[in-house]
Amino acid sequence: MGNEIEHKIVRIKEKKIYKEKFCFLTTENRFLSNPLPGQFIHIRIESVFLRRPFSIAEFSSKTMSIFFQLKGKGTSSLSQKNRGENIDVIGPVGNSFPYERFKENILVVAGGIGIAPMIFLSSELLKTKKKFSFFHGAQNKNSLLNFFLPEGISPVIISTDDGSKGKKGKITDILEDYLKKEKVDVIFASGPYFMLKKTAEISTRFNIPCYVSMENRMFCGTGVCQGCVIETKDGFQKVCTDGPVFDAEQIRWKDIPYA
Amino acid sequence: MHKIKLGKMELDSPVIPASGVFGYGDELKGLIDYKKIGAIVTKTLTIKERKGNPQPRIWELENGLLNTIGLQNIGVERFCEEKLPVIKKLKKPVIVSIGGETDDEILLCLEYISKKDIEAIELNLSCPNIAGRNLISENPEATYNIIKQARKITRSFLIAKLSPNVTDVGETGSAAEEAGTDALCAFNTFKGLTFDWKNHKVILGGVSGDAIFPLSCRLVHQLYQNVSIPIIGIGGIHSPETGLLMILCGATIIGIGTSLMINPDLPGEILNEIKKYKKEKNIKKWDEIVGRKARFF
Repeated sequence: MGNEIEHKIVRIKEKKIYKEKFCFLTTENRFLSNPLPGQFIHIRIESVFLRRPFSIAEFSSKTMSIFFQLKGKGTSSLSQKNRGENIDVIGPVGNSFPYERFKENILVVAGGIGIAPMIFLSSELLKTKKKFSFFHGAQNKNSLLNFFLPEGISPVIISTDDGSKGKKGKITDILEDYLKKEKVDVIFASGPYFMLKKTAEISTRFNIPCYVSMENRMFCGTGVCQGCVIETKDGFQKVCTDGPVFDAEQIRWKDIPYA
Repeated sequence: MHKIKLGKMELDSPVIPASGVFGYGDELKGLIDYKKIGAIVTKTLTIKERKGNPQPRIWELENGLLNTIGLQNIGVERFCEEKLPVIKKLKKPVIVSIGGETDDEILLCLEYISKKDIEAIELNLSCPNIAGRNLISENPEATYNIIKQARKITRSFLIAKLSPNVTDVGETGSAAEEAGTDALCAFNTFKGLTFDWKNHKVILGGVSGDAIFPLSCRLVHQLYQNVSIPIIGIGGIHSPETGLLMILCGATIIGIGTSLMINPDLPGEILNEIKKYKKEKNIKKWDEIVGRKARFF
């Protein structure tokens, strides 16, 4: 872990609700250390008992953003907060995508709202002039979120389950075809469990290193309670501070009861 | 704030973390103001490393939490080698929590840890997530027996952590006192049940959080009337008022578990509340506040 976890109250600077089911929330940044792509913040939301983890989607010296889908009570009430209101955050938590050791032929795969940490990752990849392709899949054209990406990414390859935009099918099917033709040094993936599992299988088959951002129900979000562990080849590992980014090869996928 | 005496320990604060939410003691330095807590309390250690229960382990309730962690820990030996030297540097009294599946396991662990330079040992006689046995502290005789044996092993300050799931906490508390424990930690989580609707499975675990406060505070109140040793009051403290109330009902010091993760500033907020109360009531000595509102029947 590159930085110490802090507890801050931060003011909301901007809120954008998209298609009534996605929220892009920007707050002031009061962390002493810079968050890394892949890290998250753990937010206290009054309407639910436990804090909720949200990937950092954007970060600058003055601001930080999260991007989330309205799925339940917690996300819904967080999305109702307005500019000027405060939120209580713990962070930055977790490790990051190990992008620094790769120069080119990087593939970023984001399924649905799993795009959130990949927006941050893409910005860093652009900033450090790494060459990468971006794959984004969603159910249909109304759920595509690629226009939240920073400018200058090339190529951005899109797929939808129903074919309403981009290629028809799952992003992982397209990934497989792509790997048959193109040279890829590493895959970074974030998205639903089945997408990650499939991406991991494909990367193993093509013998390409793959790093995935995992999710789990979480309590402390600081590495002390052992609540969010997942099965890995090294035994139980905590999603919050050993992850959330894991080497896909290390995960014992069949032992994760997400289905 | 008064220094609070607990055996030979002098605590800077009557608020301590509950075992289990504080890791091995030094992980939360950036998050929690260590000046506001009276001691470091480790997660429960066992003689051998424990893998803990399968996931999922965390179940959110309306106003609380049900956990099924199952005492995952690195084992007492590794703790002493890797973690203890680090937390000793924090210059706080160290309370090491130990447990196990059998009396022998607990006593072996005690034998090991009692040779180390620590201020107190918590005997966890009440973890609801250990399979295949009744909890020791659900039975006054079993509680008495293990503490009696523990007393033969060590002269260290011993804290017996009790289960709230008994007919009469006064009875288990008195048994522990009679056997020679120095203090009582009251309480561990309540045994509870929730349902995994996705997989249609009953989930058994320990319930903590705001919802249990009135239950645990009443039990602390009851325990206070039955024992004369100090009580560490734990269970659902989640606000400055609930922290103060637990003390007024008989806790010499208090522990915060679940809520510490939700509000890391809570220890400081409780200290302010206590300070305000002491000033209002012109309280000079800590003894005057402990159990001040406990009613004797």
